[in-house]
Amino acid sequence: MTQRFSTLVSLAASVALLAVAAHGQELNPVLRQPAAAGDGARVLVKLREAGSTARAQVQAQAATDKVAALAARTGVAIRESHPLAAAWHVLTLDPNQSAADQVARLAADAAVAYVEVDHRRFAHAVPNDPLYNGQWYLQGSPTTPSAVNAEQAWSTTTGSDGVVIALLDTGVRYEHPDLGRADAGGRLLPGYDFVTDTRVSNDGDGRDADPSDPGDFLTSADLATDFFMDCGDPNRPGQPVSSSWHGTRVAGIIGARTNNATGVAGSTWSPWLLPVRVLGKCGGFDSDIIPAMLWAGGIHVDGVPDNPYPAQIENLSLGSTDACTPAYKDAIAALAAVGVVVVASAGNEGGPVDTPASCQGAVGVAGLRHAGTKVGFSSLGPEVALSAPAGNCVNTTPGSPCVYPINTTVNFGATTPGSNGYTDQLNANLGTSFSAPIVSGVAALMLAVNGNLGVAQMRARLQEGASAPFPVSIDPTVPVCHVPASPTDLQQSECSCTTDTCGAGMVNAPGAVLAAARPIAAVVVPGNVSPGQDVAMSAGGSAAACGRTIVSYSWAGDGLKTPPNQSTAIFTAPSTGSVTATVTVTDDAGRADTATIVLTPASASTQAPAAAGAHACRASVPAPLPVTVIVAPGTATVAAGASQTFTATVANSSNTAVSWSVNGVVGGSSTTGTITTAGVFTAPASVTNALAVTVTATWSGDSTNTGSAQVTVNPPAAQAQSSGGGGGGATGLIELAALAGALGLLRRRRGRAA
Amino acid sequence: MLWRSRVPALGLALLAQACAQPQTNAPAPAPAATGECQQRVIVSFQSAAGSDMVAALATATGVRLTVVSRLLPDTYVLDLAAADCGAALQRLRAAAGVRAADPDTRRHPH
Repeated sequence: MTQRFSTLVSLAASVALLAVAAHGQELNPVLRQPAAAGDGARVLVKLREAGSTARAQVQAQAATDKVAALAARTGVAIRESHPLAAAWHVLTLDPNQSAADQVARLAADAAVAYVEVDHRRFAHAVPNDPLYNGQWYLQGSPTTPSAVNAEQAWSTTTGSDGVVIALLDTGVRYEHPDLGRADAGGRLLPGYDFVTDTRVSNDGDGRDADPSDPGDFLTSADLATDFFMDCGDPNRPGQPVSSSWHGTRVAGIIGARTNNATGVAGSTWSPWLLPVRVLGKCGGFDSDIIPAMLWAGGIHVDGVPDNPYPAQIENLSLGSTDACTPAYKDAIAALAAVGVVVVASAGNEGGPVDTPASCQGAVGVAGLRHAGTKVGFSSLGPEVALSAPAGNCVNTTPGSPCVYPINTTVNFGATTPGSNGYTDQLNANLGTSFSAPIVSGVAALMLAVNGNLGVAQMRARLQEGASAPFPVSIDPTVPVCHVPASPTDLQQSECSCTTDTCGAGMVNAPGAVLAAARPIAAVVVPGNVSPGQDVAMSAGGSAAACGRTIVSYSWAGDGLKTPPNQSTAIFTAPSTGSVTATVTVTDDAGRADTATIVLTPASASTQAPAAAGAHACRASVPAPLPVTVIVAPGTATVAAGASQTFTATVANSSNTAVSWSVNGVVGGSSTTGTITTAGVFTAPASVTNALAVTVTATWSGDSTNTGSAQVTVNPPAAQAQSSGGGGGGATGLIELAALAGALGLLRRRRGRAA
Repeated sequence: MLWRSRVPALGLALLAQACAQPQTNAPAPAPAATGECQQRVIVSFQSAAGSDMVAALATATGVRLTVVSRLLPDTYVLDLAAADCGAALQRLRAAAGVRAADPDTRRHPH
């Protein structure tokens, strides 16, 4: 009991101190609890009594006597008491005595089941996004035990703009108001499109710098081809399949713009999202996904400009059922070596975990129902690291509202992009695809409080902070999940999770943030050891979380020759067998981490890093400069039938593709003049009066980002007069050039005619 | 695939299952002779390899290989053309210096 009380006090203190420690990178104001929480000398006591309701009433009547007896036995001067319920009492203690001492005496009494401080509680950070109420999965409630209780974590940190999360998916809709371009106040970085095959990309080309999602719809004609035939709806064979906007859905769950009085909230409020397009029509291929993973983590990929915004977290809500391939293993290992964690969804088949979630080193995420049991469709198995809500509709019939969807951002275009909006109970969003981004968002919160977390630490602390054990269904017909015996061993109905099937527990945002806030113990051990040798080891490379400092070291183990409380220690190597040594580092908030070293006559080894890192507080990643489109020349006068070449300069983006239009019509028309994809404008063959038109270059990355030029088309006589009139300067030169161009065109036409 | 709304749960499950089966990429590599199959594969060597290693592999296995890209110092995306793609893949896997050879598998959104 005392231990539990101590834990509670420690937890409260930790939360309070962590709130102070959080660095000032949040973009949005949130409610935070005061640094000194100010709990009074009041406790909640439960006595060891139980019984029927009638008996409880008798007990309540006798409460005053029982409390008086308790005070007499323990010597605690109880100033005031009142019953909460049968056997539960609120007691006000003597403020002039040690609260801890009084609590300890009460807790030691045989009649007391437990004592808890009557803690002061504070409103959590609840965002003002109007659709947040429907995001049950981010909240905390006894009726939805799988919900991640993000509000409590947000009271500590809402995230950091020093964290970049890559989403390898179908691309995104940049213009979604709850996402938006990073250069215009939104969250989406420029990213890249890695889809090589134009049948998949649906954007007319292979790899390019534009990861916008053009839609992944499939027509009946598509489905009639070998390449797409397996991607139709088996219930509607051959029928068209609408675009999914899958990447836009995933993006909103990770990091929709939050507390902006618009739409939904993200799991983390202020990350940068790096869209990396690897999926299109009917999925995508490893030969695109794997290089995209490397590129997103900052590793060079031939033929692609290096990523200026390397991610620390990669979200892969994709996969298929097969064993992890060596190429994925190598890619994940290469990413781990540069500190990039890969979070991947387990799959929706109810069978073995898909690749890449099944790969060693990836954080595989299975899907849960609101109640914390495995949702039927989620795949499962020992490769799963932990689980998160995936949405479930609770016995609804088709067309009726889904009770527990994973609401997020979406586009409503059936094929090509349409209006933007949000999923809801009638347009429900479900799948393990949406479990993984919840975990990615929580991981981003963890990096905000401790930017030094490496891949192994991230995984371990996500698991450490998870809620466990899993709830067991109260329905006796719901089986316990089992490890799939084969790819055909499917569990497509609800089952009660185990650690072998759904990972260490249910991701819990405040638990994960608290775990992340512990320091990281690091140890340098010698490369060579001989029997009986003095082995010097150093934990000086350990590091505390953001805003904290290491205040103590504690070494332990056989053969320790030096004082245990220094950053370095000397152990005597054993002559035979092995010795386990530990070092525990503790920070100024009382949080600790322990590294273990195994000493043998010939070696010293540890899983701990040699250095924990120097970036506990992540530096802000500056927003990209705004992309601009400038058309040159800005004005031009062109004779009827003549041509003028325009150039568009796209600044601050590696994506320089534009489309050309005249008076808003792509490619122009015979009445306004036409324009080629290379920007060559050709005036109408004849005009009776001067005609003013606007030539516009529209950036392919954002249809609202344009540059334009004003063009006057003159009848031939007026053109000659205009040119002869000598507007002077550059415009005059352009006019002359246009005239020369027109003459050249005429010559060419005559030549062809001849 | 479970993002689709208003589709019966069974349909969703079947759809997901159907879409989740690994499929391999059959690209349009160097023109294949009549009767040849084509397949894109990912080949990992046991150590860093140059394009000369790919050429040597093609010679040693009798499989026509075209380099598409290099993923990692020891890993290539290759297009193979052969009379029997399955047998060709087995020959690549069995070749000296090759750590792994796998089809370029199609993945799907979950």
